[in-house]
Amino acid sequence: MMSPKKKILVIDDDEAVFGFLHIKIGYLYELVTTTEPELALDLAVSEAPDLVLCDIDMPGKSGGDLAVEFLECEALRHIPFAYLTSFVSPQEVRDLRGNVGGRRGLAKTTQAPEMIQIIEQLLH
Amino acid sequence: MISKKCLVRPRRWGLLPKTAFTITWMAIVAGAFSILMAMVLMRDRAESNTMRELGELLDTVASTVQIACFTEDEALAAEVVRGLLSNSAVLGVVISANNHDLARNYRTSSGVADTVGGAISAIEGRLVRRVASPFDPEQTVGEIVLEPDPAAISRSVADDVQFVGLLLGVQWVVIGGGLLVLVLLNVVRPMKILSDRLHRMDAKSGARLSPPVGQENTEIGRLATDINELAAGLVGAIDHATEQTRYLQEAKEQVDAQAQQLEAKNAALARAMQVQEEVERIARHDLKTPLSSIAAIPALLRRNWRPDKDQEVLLAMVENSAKRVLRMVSLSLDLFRMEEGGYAFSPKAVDISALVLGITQGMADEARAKSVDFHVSGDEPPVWAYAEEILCYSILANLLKNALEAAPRGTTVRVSIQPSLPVRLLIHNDGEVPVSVRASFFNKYTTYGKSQGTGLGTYSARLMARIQLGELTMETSEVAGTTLELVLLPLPEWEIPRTALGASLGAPATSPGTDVAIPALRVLLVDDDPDNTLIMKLFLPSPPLRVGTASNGREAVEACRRRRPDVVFMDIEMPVMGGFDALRRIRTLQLEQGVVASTIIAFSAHDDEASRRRSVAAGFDLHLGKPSSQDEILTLLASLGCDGRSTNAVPEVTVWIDEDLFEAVPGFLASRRAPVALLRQTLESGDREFLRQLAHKLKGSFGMYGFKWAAQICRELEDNHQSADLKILALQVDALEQHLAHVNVRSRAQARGIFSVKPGVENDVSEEKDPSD
Amino acid sequence: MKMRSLILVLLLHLSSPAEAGELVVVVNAASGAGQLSRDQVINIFLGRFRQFPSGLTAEPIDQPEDGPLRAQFYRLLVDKQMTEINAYWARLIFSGRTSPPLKAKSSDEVLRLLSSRRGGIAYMNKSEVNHLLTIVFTPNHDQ
Repeated sequence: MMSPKKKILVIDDDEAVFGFLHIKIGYLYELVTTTEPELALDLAVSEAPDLVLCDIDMPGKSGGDLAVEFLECEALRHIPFAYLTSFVSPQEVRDLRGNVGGRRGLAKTTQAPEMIQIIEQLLH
Repeated sequence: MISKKCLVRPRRWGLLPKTAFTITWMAIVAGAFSILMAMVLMRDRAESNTMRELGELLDTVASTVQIACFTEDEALAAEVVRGLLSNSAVLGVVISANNHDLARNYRTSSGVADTVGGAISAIEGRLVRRVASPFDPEQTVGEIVLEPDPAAISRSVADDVQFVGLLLGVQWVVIGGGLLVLVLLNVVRPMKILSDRLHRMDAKSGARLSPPVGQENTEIGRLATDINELAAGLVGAIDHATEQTRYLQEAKEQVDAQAQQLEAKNAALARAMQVQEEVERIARHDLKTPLSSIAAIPALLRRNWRPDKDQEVLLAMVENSAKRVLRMVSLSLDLFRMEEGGYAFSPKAVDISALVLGITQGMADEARAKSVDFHVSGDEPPVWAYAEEILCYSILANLLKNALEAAPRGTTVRVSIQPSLPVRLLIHNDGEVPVSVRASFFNKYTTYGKSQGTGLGTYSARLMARIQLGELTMETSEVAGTTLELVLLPLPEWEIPRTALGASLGAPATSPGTDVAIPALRVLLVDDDPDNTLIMKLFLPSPPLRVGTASNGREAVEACRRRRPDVVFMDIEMPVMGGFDALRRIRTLQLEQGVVASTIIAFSAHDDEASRRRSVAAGFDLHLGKPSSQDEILTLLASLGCDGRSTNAVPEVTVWIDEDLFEAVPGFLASRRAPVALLRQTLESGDREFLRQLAHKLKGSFGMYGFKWAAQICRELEDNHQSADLKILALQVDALEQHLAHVNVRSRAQARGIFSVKPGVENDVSEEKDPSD
Repeated sequence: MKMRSLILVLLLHLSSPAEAGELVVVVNAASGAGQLSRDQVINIFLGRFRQFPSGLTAEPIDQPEDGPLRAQFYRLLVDKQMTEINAYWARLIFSGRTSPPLKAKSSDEVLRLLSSRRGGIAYMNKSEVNHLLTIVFTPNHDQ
C-alpha cells in the first residue's frame, strides 16, 4: 500500500526549473509550483505542503524574505523550508553540510538521486 | 609645600570638653535668665517695701506732725521734714495745714536742700497722709505728703538682685557643677572610653569590645554588646566573601586549565586532520599513480602482442592484482568518507548478475583448487539494481571470497539472485560461523582465521551496503550453514538502460582505439615523472595524434614557443616551474604570437572539487584527475574539435542530456530564447545589475538541463557583470545565441553505446566537470 | 496705760463731789467774751488759735502743775494725761511759735492773773468763781 505522496511547494521565477523537477522527482512527490513569491504564502496556506523549496535570487521578494515570512506565520512556520538555488554547487552544499545561508539548501544542479536523498532528509 | 587643604582637618571636639562646654553654656544662660526674672520681681517687692518703710517712718513722726499741723507751727514742721529727709528713701516731704504749706523740702544731689517751694514731680507712689488733731482723731488739721526716692528703690533693688544673683550663682555653680560631673562621669566618660576602645579595636583578630566598668547593665553596655555582635557578623561576612573569592579564583584557574587542554586537543585534532589529508594525498599520488600505471600495462601489451595462454594468465594476474590494490586504496579512502557521512551516494543501473558472474569466473581457479563449486541461480543477466558499481563489486568480491574460504572442501557455494523489489542476493556456504565470532561478525577488525584478512571485509561490506540504502545480514547455524543476504535498491523505471550494458571490471578491456574517432591533434605531455609520461604516450594512439613531451614547466613553455600544440596535458606539481606558472606563460606567449590558444588540461593527482575549481580559475580549460583511464583520455580528446579548442572555450558541438530530460529539451530551449534576447537588450541599456540577475537565472536552468557550456557562459556573464567591457560581454551573448541555435542535442543513453566505457563513468566525467559548479 | 488712767479717773471722780468739784472755764467779766465751744477752748489752751471770737487775744492760764485741777481740766478737755500735755508743749517750746499757758503758782494767783489780764482765761472749781468772772465753758465727760 503506497502512502500518499508528500507535497512540495516550489517557488522560483523560472518555469524551466519546474519542468526539470517534474521530470526528475515528480514521480515521487506532488509538486505545487508558483513563479510569484507574493502568492507563495497564500498558496502555502491553502495547499499545506510538507516541504517548501524556494529560489533565493528572485525579483521583488527574495528567498530570504520569504523564509522570514514563513517563519513569522503561525500556520506555516512548522513546514520545512529549504533554498533551491544556483548560487552554490552540489559539492559546496555537501561541504557546507547542507547549510546555505543559515537554512537548509539544495543546489539546482544536484543530481536527482542526491536531490531525492536530501528531500527525504528534509521531510523527516 | 603642603596645601592648605591638607592642614585643615575637620576639627574634632572631644566628647568631654564638648559636653562640659555645652552644660556650662546652658548654666550661664539659665543663670542670666534667672537674674533677669529676679530683677523684675525684686523691683515690685522693693517698691512695696519702700512704701511700707516710709509708712512706718511717718508713723513715728505722726504725733509731732499732728502737733505741728494743729498749731500750724512751721518750725516744728520744718524740723519734722528735715528729720524725714534724712532717710535716704525719702526724696521730698510736704506738710500742709489748713491748705497752706507749713513746710516742704526735697533732696538734691548736693545733699539735703533747704528750699521752700519747688513742685514735686508727680511720681507714682507718693505717700499722702492726712494729719489728724492730736486731740480729736476725727478732726483733720493738715496733710503730709512723702515722696519716695526712685534711686533709693533702684539701689535697694540692685542690692537685692546682687544678693539673689549671688545666691543663684552659687546654687547654679554647685548644682551645675554637680550635674556636669555626674553626666561626665556616668555618661560621657563611659562613652569616650567605649569609643576609644572601639577605635583601637581590631575586630578581625577577634578582639571584642568590653564596656567600661560599671556600665555593663546600662545602655552603654548594651551598645557594646550590639557592636560586638555587629563586628562578629561583619567579620564573618568578610571571611565568607574571602572564601568565595578564593573558590572563584580556583574555579577560574580550573576553567583556564580546561581551556588550555581544549586548545591543546583542538591543535591535536587539527594536526590529525592534517595528517589524514596528507595520507590521502600520499595515497592518491604515491600509491594510486604507480598502481594505475601497472594496471594499464597489460592492456598496452596486448595491443601489439598476442600472448599465449600462459602469458595471458600472467598478464591477467598482474592486471587484476594491480586493479584490486588500486580499488582497495580508493576504497579505504571512501570508507572513511562513508563513516563520516561525507560520501555522496550516486546510484546508477548496476547489473548485479553480471558482476557475480564476473567475480566467480575470476575466482574459478581458486575454487577448483579447493574443489568448491560456485552455483549461481536466478535470472539471466541483466539483473538491475540501483547502486554504485564499484561498491557492489567490492561487496560481492568480499562476500564471495569469504564464502569460498569458509566453504568446506567439496561443497558448493550457492549464489541466488532474486529479482524482487528490492533486489535480494543470497550467498550460501556450508559451514558455520564460529559461535564466538557471531556477535561481532560485522565489526571492524574482526577476523576469524583468514590468513589474508584485514578484518575490514565484512565491516566495509555492510557499510557499503547501507550507504547504498541497502542492507547486509548474516544467518548461520550448524545445520543450515551460513547465508549472507544482500539487499539493494531496485532500479526506478526511468533508469532502466535501453541498451545492454556489458562491461564488468573483471572483463578484459577492449581496445578502444577502434571505436573512438580521434582527430589528428598535436599533443604535449608535461610531467616530471617519466613513468607517467610513458604511460600516457602509450595510451595515445599515434598516429593520428602527434605526441610531444616536456619534463617541467619551462620545457613546456619552450615547446609551445617552438610549435603550437593543440592539447597540453599539464602536470601541476613539477620542479623548476610548476603547472600554474607554465599555464600563465603559455597563455601570454600564445596571445603574443597571435595563435589560437591551446587546450591546456590540468592533469593532477588532486581530484577534489577545490582543486578543480582552482584549475579552472587559473585558466586551465579542463581538469583531469590522475590516474585517468585511457578511455577517459580518449573520450576527452574525441570531444575536442579539430583545432583542439576545449569544450569550455568553444561551445560544445554536442550536448549530452539525461534520458529523462531529453524530451523536455526542445521546449526548454524554446523557453530560453526570450531571456537570452532580454540579455542582449539589457546589455544595450547598460543595466549591469539586471544583467547579473538574468545571467544567474540562465546559469541555473542551463546547468540543470545539462547545457554545461551555456551555463558557464552565463556564469562568466554573472561574474563579470560589473567589471567587463560591455562589448566583450556582448560577444559572449552572441556566442551563446549561436550555440543555442545550432547545438546538437543527444541523449545520454545513446552515448553509452559508442565508447564501451563502464556505465556511469562518462556521466561522472562530464558531471564532475560541471562548469556551473 | 490707758487702763490705768481710766481707773484713776474713775477713782478721782468717785472721790470728788460732783457739783462742788465741777470744773469751769472762766474769763474776766470785763473781756466781753461770750460762751465758747470746746474746740475754741482747745485751740486757746493748746496754742492753736489764741483769740476770742470777739477778736480779743486770749491768754490762757494754767493751774499749778502739782494741783489736781490741771490734770482734771486737760483730762476733761482732750482726754490726755499731763505727761502727754507736757510732751506736747515740750515740742512746741523750741519752735517759738506758740507758748504754753501761763503757769500760776496757786489758785489765788490764777485769780489775780485773771483780774489783771483782760484776755485771761482759766479754769477753776465752780465754787471759786466770783462776780468778777464769767463762766464761758463747762467741760463735761460727755461733751
